[in-house]
Amino acid sequence: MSTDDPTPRIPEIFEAIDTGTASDPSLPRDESARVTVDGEPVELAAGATVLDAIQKVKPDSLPALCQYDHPDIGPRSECRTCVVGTDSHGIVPSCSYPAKDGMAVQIDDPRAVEARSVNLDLVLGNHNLRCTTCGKNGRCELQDTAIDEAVETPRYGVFDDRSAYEPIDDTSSFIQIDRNKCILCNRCVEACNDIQVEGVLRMEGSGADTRIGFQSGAETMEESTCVSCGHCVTVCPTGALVEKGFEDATTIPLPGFTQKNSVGSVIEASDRRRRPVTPAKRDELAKSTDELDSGTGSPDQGHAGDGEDGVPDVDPWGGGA
Amino acid sequence: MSDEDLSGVAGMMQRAKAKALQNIEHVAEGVAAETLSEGTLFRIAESIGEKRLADLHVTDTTCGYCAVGCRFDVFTDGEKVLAVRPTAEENAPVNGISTCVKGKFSYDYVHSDDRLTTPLVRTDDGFTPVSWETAYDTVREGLDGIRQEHGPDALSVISSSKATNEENYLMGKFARQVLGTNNVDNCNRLCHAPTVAALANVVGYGAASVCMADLEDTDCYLITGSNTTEAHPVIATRIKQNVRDGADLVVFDPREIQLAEYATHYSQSQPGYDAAWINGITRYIIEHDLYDAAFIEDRTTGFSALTESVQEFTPERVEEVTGVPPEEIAAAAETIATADKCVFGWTLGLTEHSHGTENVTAMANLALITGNVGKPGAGLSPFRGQNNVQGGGGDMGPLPDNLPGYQDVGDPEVREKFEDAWECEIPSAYGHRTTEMFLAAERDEIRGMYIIGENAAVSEPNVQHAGEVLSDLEFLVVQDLFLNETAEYADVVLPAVTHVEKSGTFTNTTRRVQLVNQAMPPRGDAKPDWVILTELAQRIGYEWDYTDPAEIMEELRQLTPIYGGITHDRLAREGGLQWPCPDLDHPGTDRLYSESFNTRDGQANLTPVGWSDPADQPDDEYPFTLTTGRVLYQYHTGTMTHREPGITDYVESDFVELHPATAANYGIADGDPVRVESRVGEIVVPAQITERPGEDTVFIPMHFSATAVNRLTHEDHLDEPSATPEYKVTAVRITPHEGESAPISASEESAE
Repeated sequence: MSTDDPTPRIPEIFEAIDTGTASDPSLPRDESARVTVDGEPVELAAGATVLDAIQKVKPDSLPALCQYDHPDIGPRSECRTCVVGTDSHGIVPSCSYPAKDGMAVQIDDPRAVEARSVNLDLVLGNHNLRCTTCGKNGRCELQDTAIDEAVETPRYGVFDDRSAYEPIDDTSSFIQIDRNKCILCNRCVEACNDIQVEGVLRMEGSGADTRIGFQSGAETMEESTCVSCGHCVTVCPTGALVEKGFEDATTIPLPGFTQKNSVGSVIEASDRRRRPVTPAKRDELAKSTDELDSGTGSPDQGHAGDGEDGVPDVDPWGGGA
Repeated sequence: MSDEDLSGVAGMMQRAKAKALQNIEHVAEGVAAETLSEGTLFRIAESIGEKRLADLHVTDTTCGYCAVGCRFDVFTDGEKVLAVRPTAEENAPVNGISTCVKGKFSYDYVHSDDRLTTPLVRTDDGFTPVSWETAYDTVREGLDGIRQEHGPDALSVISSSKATNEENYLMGKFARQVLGTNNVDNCNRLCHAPTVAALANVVGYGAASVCMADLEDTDCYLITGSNTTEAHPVIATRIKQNVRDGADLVVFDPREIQLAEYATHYSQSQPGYDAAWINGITRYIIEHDLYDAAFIEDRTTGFSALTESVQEFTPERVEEVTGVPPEEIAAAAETIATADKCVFGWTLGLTEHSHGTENVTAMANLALITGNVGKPGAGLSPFRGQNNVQGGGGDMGPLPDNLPGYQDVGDPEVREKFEDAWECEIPSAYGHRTTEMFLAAERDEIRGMYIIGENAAVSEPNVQHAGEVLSDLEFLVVQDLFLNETAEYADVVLPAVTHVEKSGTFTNTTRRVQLVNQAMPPRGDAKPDWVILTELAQRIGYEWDYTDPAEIMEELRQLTPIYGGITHDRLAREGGLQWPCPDLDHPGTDRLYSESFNTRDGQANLTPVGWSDPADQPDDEYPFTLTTGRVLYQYHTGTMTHREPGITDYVESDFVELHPATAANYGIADGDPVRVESRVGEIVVPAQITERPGEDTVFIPMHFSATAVNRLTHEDHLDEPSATPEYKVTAVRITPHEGESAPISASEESAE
């Protein structure tokens, strides 16, 4: 009888869902710390980060673009726009670095200031800076940060080559994806897997080809196993994920100046009907495992242009195709 | 030139214009990029964004779908809901940043073109738009005619759990004071009334004992008859997180729902026999000395009678009755009994039976003998369905037997208090419950109805019967957002507004009263229910003078001890309050029964229950058991969700879930139309072949009137204590349907 086994058993389904925080550094949970920030002492509970210390003394003084204030999201140390100087460990990403007892933190350590500036420019260099037509205009954390940090001319330019843009994925009824505005902060992936525990989104590819993709190997939102809970779009810092119906609400109000026009290419929804209506999770996950085994939809191959072949037609209702 | 050519030319022009605009946009952006620094572009864009944001309205409010009680900011331009985003953390204590597809994205119904915007009165030519004054006069005359001739009890009111607490208080008051009858009820009768009846008897309050933190922090869940990931998605999210972190999740359900896939233990039970397996678990725990003896001794009465009553539920007997094998009963019992704390969660799979009250009583007994009531991380947790069925459907007393705060209308002292406050006489006899109203109307005991925000023509059991009753009524007033299936039978239709167009409070599934704040002006001439009721009462001659829902709360809190300390000011300041909150200094009660139970002696009443067969049982002629429910992408009869194209893309018709073996036996392929017949009716729906149901069970959701599953259910199979119908068990037979069912052919065409 299974009850003879006293160890807690996590159902297999959880193992099949990639956790978004797999690569997060773990924080020591056992000791409290006393640190100084620009000379000012701060007491911290166990598990606190350097950023927690800074927030107590000088709130909102750092960009920390990929950081999100939720226990299941991050810290991830992706963008490194939050680095600060320490006497003992050099410059560190404050969002994830444990606050160690006795540490002295200098926000304006010149090396840290330079690193933050370079790192923010690196983010901007891979971001399509088309703010006036962006769904997050006026509500964008990257825009706010660039203005707060007085960015005038980013060192590495901005991502403005339209021929290199990925099409907007407008296939979901509710959520629009513009990967050209994604800063790879990973918040959406963690929201999907660690808050909603749904196993839809993942990061795929490597280097310059890294992108938000789907664990099932699907190419578009409508083909994915998304349940439209909205956590991903809620946590996105930029215009990469926007609530549909809201994408042109704060853009420049001129005819033609729309999000879709600006990017230029769009994947629209097909007429495909979603079947089955009440899918079994294990069937969805089995499907994605099959695809990974057969090579389609593997992290390195998944990219726009693979075509619909990446997703087997499992629609017995005869819709689509 | 043919129409086709014309549209070809028009299409080309359209595309050319779009291309030209795109080119202009691209050139303009190019010029800007060449001549301005990125910093300047940021500042220009931001100023545009800020200006446009300033034109939007951002209002924090409470969700109008299920009763989890999610709060968030609603962004509108005054006409449409544009988006839903997280509100300040302290204003969203239940959900934080969490949402589901309905609460975050499904608001097209609010600005739908077919919203009712003016009152309608039936004439020989159909419905005619009229002024509010004319409409009120017509309602007054219609109700008064029946009242004069047949007495007040020939009238009844169905109130709405979609409406606010304040509005439901007025609906109950309207029935008693203005009409003079206790014939007032609401949709709680069709869902959790057995929960309310059972819990009131065993522990004292007909409500969840837990707070949200208990649901998040427990070591173990027993969930049954709840398709949580689809019907209460945000609660399911919390459960999944906790199970991932090591909590046990025991699921019993006739369908292997998605939550069962996340479970540490799943047992497939036969629909209709829940008391048997629950009593079997209770017996196992008592037999093996796994019960909490100290808790039973200190906090309960009736243990020896309970022990005796569960003796018949031996593992072998339970298997015989429910199909659940002994080892599964033992495993579930061990898991529940050895957990330090356990939450017992259920919805309508436990209640919508001809013996739903028995089922819930058995569940409460099990929670009590394991000591899992009144402590952190443990408790009884019915998940309520409608956004405000706890508050509006129960607490506010639009009920035939209770006045606000579950005060018994049969109690002379209670009656006297309300008679003094309302300056009227209240009948001492209980009124008719919703399902009984339809049976009473058949006998001409009820001749007029006032139905507010309830699509009874689709939601009542056996809708053929409900339709006949509605069409035979002498006078019917329907107050709704749309000319829905019920309104088609009405003599007068009064246009009401959605929750984003009004203010008030909702009470969530954990007794948390939260503010609803108006985010948009009412559409057309439509009005909030509380305004309509106030003006109608005035027109009839009563001195109702409410000008703000806060005034109504002020009145009701003084008559309702569990709401005694709740005011709109406090709710705004404190981010919601959980009842009981007896006075203005009381912080509210996050968890019930920490010290004592709300019973006469403060002890919980362990109450022996046996088991009963469902009223309708399969036989050779009708060999399958039909059970009903919801899907994620729809809501109830679809009044709110059918107007959302994004939603109907997912589900545009009902369907029947068949086990692959069952489908193979009948030669039915996925998507084939299937005729499903019960002893009272038949429908044709497409097949969805899945291993979710057992081989003897079929499942049909309840969302579409064209294929209303309630053509199959029985209007007179009721739970005796609560009068709740047996939606979850109907004997049916299936046959492949020759030809095509309308919904499936439509879907295939549009998919090509």
